[in-house]
Amino acid sequence: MVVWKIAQSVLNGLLSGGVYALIGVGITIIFGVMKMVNFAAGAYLVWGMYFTYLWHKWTGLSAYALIPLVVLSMILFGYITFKGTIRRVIKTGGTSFILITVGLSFFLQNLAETVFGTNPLAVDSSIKTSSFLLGKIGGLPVIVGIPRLIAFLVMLVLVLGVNFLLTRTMMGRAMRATAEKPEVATMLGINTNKTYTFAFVLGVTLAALSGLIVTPLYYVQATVGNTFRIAPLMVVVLGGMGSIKGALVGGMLVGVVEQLVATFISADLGTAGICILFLIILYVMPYGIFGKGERAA
Amino acid sequence: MSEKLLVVRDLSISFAGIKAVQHLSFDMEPGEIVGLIGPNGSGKSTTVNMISGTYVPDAGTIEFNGRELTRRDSIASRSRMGIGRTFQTPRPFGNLSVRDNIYSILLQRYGFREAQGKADEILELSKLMHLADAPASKLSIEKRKWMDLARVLATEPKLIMMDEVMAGLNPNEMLESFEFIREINRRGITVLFIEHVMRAVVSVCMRVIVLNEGKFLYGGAPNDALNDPTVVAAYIGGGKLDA
Amino acid sequence: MTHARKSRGPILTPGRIIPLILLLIMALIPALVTSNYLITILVNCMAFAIFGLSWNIIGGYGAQISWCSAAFVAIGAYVNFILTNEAGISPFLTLPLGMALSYAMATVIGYGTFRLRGAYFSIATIAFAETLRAAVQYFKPLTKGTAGIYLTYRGANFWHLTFPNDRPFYFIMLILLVLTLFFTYRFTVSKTGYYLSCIKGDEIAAESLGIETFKVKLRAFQVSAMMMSVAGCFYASFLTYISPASTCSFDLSIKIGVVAIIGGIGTLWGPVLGAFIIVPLIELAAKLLGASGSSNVLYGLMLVLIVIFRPKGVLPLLTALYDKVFPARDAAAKGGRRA
Repeated sequence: MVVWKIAQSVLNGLLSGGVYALIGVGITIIFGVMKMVNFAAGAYLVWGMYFTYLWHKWTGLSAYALIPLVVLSMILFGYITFKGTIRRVIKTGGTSFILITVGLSFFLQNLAETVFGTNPLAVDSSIKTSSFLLGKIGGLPVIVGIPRLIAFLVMLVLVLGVNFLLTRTMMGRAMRATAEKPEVATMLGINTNKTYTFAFVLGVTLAALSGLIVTPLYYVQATVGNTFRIAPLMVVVLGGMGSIKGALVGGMLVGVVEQLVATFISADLGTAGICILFLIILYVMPYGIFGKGERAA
Repeated sequence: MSEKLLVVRDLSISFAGIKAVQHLSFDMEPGEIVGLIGPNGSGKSTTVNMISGTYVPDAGTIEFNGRELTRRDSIASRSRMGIGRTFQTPRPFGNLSVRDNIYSILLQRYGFREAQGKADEILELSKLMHLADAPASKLSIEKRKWMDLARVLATEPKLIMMDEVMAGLNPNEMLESFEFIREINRRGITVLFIEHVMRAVVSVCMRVIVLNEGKFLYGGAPNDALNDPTVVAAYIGGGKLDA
Repeated sequence: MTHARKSRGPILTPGRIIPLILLLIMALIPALVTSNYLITILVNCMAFAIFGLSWNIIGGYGAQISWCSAAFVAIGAYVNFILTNEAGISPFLTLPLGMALSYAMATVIGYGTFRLRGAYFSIATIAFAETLRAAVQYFKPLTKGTAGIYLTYRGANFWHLTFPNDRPFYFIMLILLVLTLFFTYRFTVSKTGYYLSCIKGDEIAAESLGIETFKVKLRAFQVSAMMMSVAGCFYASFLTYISPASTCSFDLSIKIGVVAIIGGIGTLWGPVLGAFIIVPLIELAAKLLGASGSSNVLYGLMLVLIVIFRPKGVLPLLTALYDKVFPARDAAAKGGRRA
């Protein structure tokens, strides 16, 4: 019985961890290029959900078909919010970025609540409750929820796409150069401002897409942001700031821990479980699983 | 052996496969002014960073005042032992006045009133008294360098490692700086002087150590070093040499 | 303001008289004003001023942005109510317990993060705040979970900080505010305070000059946490009802940070100014716009705008005005560290 519970939790966790991983990858990209943590990722996820809802209402298409439209909306939304706020304080230093992204997070999430109201909305999906049987352990069924599975697969596709972008395209190379040595990048003719903008918009679009892929699983409402505001930060630190591989692994780990805690201890302690894990890891492996240590004494 | 202030033996460090410093050995006696010179990338700053504690060497030993420095000796604790350093680009506490820059550091050793008195002394010595209450962020580059030195003096060091102090100074400022450094040395402080400006090296240093590509190349009197063919070859092959 | 450096001048400078006058006005208000509503607002202003000053110790003077202020407030609040309700112990006696718990929590977080650079600290504070909130919700037998705790009222009792109306709290908060201002000032001119401003100026240089940055930051965070829990204890008695939503929320932590930042991050009077601007403003916004969501939007927006346009907060505008009205007598009075 216990083995079954563990197996099912781990499976669920791996799949839902994919969502955390996706947001985490978004934050990692922004951190890699701009050396700053985007605390507003959760808020962009919320807006991703609301954009999905709006397009769904206007076109009737299912969430997954709306990906291109939502991406376009988010690129615009991300660009406007970035240019209006963060772009102006890039030069000022670390604490400004922390303050402004936290402020932005608070502002955007509550703005969504003000604009769309507090009532939970829903994006209908025909596959919301479908699942298939993976196998049995001790006579108990181990089930894979289809929405979770699709979310995971979409995440994989997106991450592979991002990886391709970073390694094979000019912009990707520009981003990596800016990440390593901004001064040298400028000398090589790379427009660092453009690179920062691109990185940020890419990062928050990934967060928004995370919102899209969980619409079959959650109601669309601003408070969802609270759930997704903390876990991705943990993912990024656990995986090692700036490592996409790390964000992936971290995301799964976080997802699994959350599910295990929710199953065996209490449903609403899931996030707290992640936080405790985070605090422990901070002591043991401060630079995360794939992070690069500092060469200090 | 116990007379020597600093003993560096077989010091080595690599970064990402690049051997920045290889098997470096040298000594310093108390009261010396030793120049550490060499083309760009020869490992001078890296060596200073290893002595100050910023980097942990891969191999070799550093002995200061007869005691070996280990990775457990943090940057701050090495400063308290008497190892001081300045940075290539000055690092003032821009949010404080010049006086408070120095005063804060003195508070580590003295009570409030005594520290005030000592701060005055250092301000006089470094000719910054007239700027004492100005915000440090408003200082010119020459004054910033002097304030860096003044601040290190507040730690009552036995050794000061000066990292390219002369960069960016005009000839007059340089002459004044030579005198300042000599005065510091007269007060019993040993100086390790990283420099590119050869005029300064010749003027101030008693002897020089030449590095090239992370290795010890030559040691001797400044003028002898500058005339030595291997040293000249290293510079022409590598970095700059402005006399 | 360096020690023993100001040229001898008049003892009562405008810089000293103005706060005294303000204090006098504040002390007289309850006698002149009958509206309990106004009194309540002012108590809130003062409470948030104290929270803001506590945040400032690590956030402003130390430039380490903490988002777990609410957690320390909650510790002070819950220790107070649990022990008062269950065991009848006076909040004054349980204060040290709240402080000790906060000190311990701050030490745990500090040990994990202050050796690292960057946003680790801020992230860890968010993690800690969430953990505490979950813990408060979960240990229902002790904390009554999401339902919260009502302070049982057994008649007016100073020792238990229970009163029939808010007026006594006005004076309690005023005294607490004056004490906090005084304590904050003493902190900034203490050795730790000086080292902290060096670290804020240039951490690498500070380290190279012998300052143990880890220890200093840790001490500042511990002090900030303890101050926050003391304030939380008294604030809770004033509120008479606490719940995870009202005391442990991320919202509260943001509000506290915003108060200090809007007023003037890293200054003595900044958080006070910030509190007296923001608390009434939000009250007004809530009346005009309704739901709490919209007032939260304001917090976020203000934070963003201030960081972009006035990163030093509103206080510099006032000090500029002050300098115009009372030009400095001698050059030595200018420059140096501004409180």
